[in-house]
Amino acid sequence: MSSIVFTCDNCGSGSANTAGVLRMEYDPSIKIIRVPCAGRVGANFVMEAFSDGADAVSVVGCCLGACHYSGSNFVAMRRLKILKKLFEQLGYEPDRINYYTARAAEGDTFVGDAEDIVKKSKSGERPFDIILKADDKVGGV
Amino acid sequence: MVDEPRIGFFICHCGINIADKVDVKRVVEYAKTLPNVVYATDNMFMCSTAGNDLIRDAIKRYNLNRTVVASCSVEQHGPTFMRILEEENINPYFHEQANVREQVSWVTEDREEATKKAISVVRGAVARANNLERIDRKRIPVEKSALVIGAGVAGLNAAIDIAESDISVHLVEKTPSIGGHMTMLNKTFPTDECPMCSISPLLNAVNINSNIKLHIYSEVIDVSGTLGEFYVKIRKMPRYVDEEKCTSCGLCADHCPVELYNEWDRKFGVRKAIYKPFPQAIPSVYTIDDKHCIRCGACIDVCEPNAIDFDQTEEIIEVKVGSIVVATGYDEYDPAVIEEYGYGEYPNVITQLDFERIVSPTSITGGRILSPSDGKIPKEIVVIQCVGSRDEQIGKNPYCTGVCCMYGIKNAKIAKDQIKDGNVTMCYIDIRSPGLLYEEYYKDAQERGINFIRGKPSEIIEDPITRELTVKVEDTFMGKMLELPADLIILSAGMVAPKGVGRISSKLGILRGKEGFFKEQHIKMAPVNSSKAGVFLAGTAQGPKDITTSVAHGKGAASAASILLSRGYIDKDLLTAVVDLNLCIGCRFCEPACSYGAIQMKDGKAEVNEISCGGCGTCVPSCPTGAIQIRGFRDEQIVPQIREVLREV
Repeated sequence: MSSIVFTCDNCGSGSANTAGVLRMEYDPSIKIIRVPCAGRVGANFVMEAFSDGADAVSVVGCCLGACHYSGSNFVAMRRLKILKKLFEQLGYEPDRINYYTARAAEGDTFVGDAEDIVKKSKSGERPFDIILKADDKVGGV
Repeated sequence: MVDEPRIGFFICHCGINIADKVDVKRVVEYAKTLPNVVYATDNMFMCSTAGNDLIRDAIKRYNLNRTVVASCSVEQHGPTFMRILEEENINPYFHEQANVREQVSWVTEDREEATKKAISVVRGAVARANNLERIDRKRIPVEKSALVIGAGVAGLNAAIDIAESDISVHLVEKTPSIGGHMTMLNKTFPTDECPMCSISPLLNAVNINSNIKLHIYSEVIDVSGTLGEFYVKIRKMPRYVDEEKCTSCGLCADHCPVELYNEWDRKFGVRKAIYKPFPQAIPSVYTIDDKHCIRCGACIDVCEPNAIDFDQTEEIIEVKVGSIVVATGYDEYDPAVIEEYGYGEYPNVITQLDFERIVSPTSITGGRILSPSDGKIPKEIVVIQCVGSRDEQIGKNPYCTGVCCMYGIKNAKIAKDQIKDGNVTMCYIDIRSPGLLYEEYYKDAQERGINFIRGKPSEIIEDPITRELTVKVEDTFMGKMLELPADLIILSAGMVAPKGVGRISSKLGILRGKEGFFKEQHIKMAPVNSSKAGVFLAGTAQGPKDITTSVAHGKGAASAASILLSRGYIDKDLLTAVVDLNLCIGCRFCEPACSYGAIQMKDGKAEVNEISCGGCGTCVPSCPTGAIQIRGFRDEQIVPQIREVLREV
């Protein structure tokens, strides 16, 4: 079991680092990938992660209204909502795609998200083996 | 041509912080098997001089052109390791950091699990390092002048501070005079000083400063360009009075037959169609109110210097500036929305700004507090707090304006001092008096015999014949319904975003919060920055503030706006969006995705303005062909990392 968490460069990574500073343990299956902003994450990253064997994919951005890149986290959240819907229509569990907000000053927000991710990724069967090989795709959504 | 990657891998023990949970030797052995890793080693403290030298020597000995350091967070020591590359004449963005401390050793209990996780993180980092690219730094020249929009106390402070650092300033003010709301006040808390006395030296200083170009009675109608090079169009409305010739003698107003309520006096005073809003107005020039002027020519006849000029037309002025300070201020909330309080319907229900204009020494009553309905001295005065703020039902303003408690107390004290045999009652939800001298000010009001009732009035009833008012309020401490008689009711109306602010917001391309005020870039760390580079916020344009905070905020904005201008250039690492013109199909999906307004179409293809691009990458997923990418965070840099991080170890 493993899951990918995309953390934005600001509060996302900040909260993950604060969790570390506070020595707050969480599941080692959670793998963090740093992106500049939650808005950088598109459907291709999410699908790539699933096709590479992730059981859940999450994006952690700044609090709504506190995006360090002028509101791009709203865009990210909307994109993931659409993707979740599509996922559901394809017959997979939409819970495997999640958007979280975190506060850089508080590690427990990140750990809470991490626990939620693990819970959700364990809730069903692995959704699929392969959706599409990433090599075939060109660009984003 | 990019050289074949030659990666050096270094893992830090961080004392025992990492080594206690991660088997660093095993990670080193593993890293040696990864593609293009030509050297791998570990060290007790990579951030120490010895650790740095280790990297430096390895770069020389093994001819490395990229480094991966597995250690702490990139925020902590990323710059340390990047500097080494820079010193060795390698682009610093060829450094990649794997966080195996905050995100591995400190959060994982089991040593085997931690080691495995560290290996996967390192795999991902090496995969990313293999695909890194050179990122250049661009030196961008800036136009050494600034625009300040709004000449209230925040804008004036911003303008004078920028001007004092020898940068020319264009100060734009919509109304005929500078000074804003502060000039309307009678006293300022907590020292009960005369605000006009406090602000007039500033008004004069701004007026005579040779670095400040005043654009009074003008509006910003268009803004284009970006940080360092904004092009601004200003529309100057005609005054029909020659500013150079007018001596401000006032003969014209004496002879003008048209009499109107003075808006500046909140309609508690009169003016003529040719007017100066208040005696000390700066610039000291008369203005003809075009809407009400009947063109009788009486002013022309009496004007000695022949300053009246009906041939004036509106003027469009174009200026180029390097940065912009937005200080558009606030409007007092209009309590007429709250029907229960009858503002606008009952003459004896007024707002705090109305009261300021009644009690001010230059007012129509000569500073005496009189009921607007009959001109008698009111014996029962009720002050109602939180009108249009902290109100989610009618006003829809959940926020606290923060200053009303203090000016409510101030005016209650002034009323009590003037009408010794009267009763002054203040109905409040909570008294908020944070800061030095504020709580003391409140205490003083209590000692002077002002009644404080904790409760928000539900209704004001007026006797239609006697004009006597009754306030229905529950004293929540006593649990008792009260009906207070009142001759004068003062509503402490909150601050709201001014009318028409949406237009200027879209012209500038900066975001507003849901309350309507301009949104700061970060509520704690960047309160004077707007969402756009080079545009700064000052005073109540960003949210409710008192004078002290507005001044501080204005001065902060001035400093932020002048930093780049006084240096004359900006150095920016181009971690920005870049368009592959071969792939771009000109669909314009990326254009609205960009909240910086940095993407524009040129010859049917997207073009990124590298200066204003913030580098968030929100445009990238919107592109159907993958033509737009972010340097340093391209698809081909992150996708392999995802793949490698997930690979079973």
